[in-house]
Amino acid sequence: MIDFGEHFSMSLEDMIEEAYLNAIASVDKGLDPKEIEAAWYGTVYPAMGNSGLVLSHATGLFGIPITRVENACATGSDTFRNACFSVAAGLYNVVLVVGAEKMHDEPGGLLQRADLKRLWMGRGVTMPAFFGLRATAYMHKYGITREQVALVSVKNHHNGSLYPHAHLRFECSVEDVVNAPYVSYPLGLYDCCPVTDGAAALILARADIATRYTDNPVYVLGSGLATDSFVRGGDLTNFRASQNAAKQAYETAGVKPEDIDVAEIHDCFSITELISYEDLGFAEPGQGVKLLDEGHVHLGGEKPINPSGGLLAKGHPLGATGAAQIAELYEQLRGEAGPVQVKNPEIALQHNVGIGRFATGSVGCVHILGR
Amino acid sequence: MTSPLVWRISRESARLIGYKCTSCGWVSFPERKRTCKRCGAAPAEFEELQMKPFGKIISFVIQHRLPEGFQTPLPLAVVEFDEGARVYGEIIDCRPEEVQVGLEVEADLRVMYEENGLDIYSYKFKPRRGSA
Ligand SMILES: [Zn+2]
Repeated sequence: MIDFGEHFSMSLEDMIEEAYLNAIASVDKGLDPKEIEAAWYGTVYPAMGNSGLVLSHATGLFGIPITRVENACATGSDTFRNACFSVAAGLYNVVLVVGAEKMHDEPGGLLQRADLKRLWMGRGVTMPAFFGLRATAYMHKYGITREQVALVSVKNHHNGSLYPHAHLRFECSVEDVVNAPYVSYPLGLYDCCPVTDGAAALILARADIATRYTDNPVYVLGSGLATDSFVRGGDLTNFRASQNAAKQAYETAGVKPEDIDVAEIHDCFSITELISYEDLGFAEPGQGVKLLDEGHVHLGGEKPINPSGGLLAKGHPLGATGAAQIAELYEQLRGEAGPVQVKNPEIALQHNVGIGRFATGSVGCVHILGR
Repeated sequence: MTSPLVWRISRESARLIGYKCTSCGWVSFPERKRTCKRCGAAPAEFEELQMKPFGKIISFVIQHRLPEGFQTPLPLAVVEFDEGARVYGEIIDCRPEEVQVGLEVEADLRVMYEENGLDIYSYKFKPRRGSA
């Protein structure tokens, strides 16, 4: 991956190029680009057109299959998931996965998608509002305060202050979080992830030939993907898309939530991480705050969550996010995560949950990795 | 001229007409559908349902950052009509601190925006006052 941030001097292709070169350089025993047989490219709001051609142009990989994937904030992880299928099916030995997003070239940004000229669906519903509606419902049902939700931001900004690739590298306090200007009450500025440019690249090889490239491979153990919509009913204190994706991933991996040693999960907003503890089976419904109170999910805790600083501090370049989370967990599992290294993890979980269909529905994606 | 997106749902939207799945009771509003989004019946049998303009707030936010054309702070809620259909809606005619989960609201026809010189009407929600 590349350092996340405001990259006004880099185009979308420049970022992809750098992520790609970094990925190739990271292969322990070397990789000739000619060994790459196919590639998957994830981006949500393509700054340079909709096709896979951007990836060709950024990497020099022409003449091979390149597929562009888009699936809301799960784009990066679903891109990875589709590449996994091709390798698992025995179609290819080595493939490339790239997730990238250029968020800073358009000044209006995502706010403009809260369409004024639309009725019912998504009118006035920004991303902070979509998750803020979850926050209100969750806080109301379980009697949780803004100060308690803020613990997520405090933890993740602490981690981000240590993580070299993070966009925002500062610490904040509970007071900072609750006193920040409101974006979408009950969410304030520090409850929200920043607007960030970024790209991440991954090299995927068949498990039985992985040792040609490294003596220390990371294996994909499980994967899940699901959708849901709030119009279907149920309360707004969870994401059934995440729950179903997690169930699929745990089942394919044959592991349980308690087996997870480290996780990079979706904290586009503070509340999203809190709810996701429960959706992913790390806490019972309404009990997520306990994990924060007890330091369970902090660096040095029993199950560190978002050691990279998460989306809140590292940033959330939509299409890049899931791919970057997998790159981070790859480093964690190999003991290469530097200042945010978790003690000897064996099984890791990656998770995204995104919004789609004019903010009426959600997409959840989960992967489980192991060494 | 309204946009096709708005034109397609204009009858249901203006008259609060929903469609109820006869197998599970899920209500589609304002779009007429042929498959059920709750039970997955395909094809599903739907009966047309004249909804009343009443519902309650399932959850809400107060919007402070919105594109041009919206006034902030703007209370925005997920409203569940008494018949079960769920929509996003603006909450009007009350102070922001009155907006609460569980608050009973009434749909009220209002101008939403202007397009090509035409006022586009649809519903906003106000607290349901007194006995109805
Ligand atoms: Zn049904």
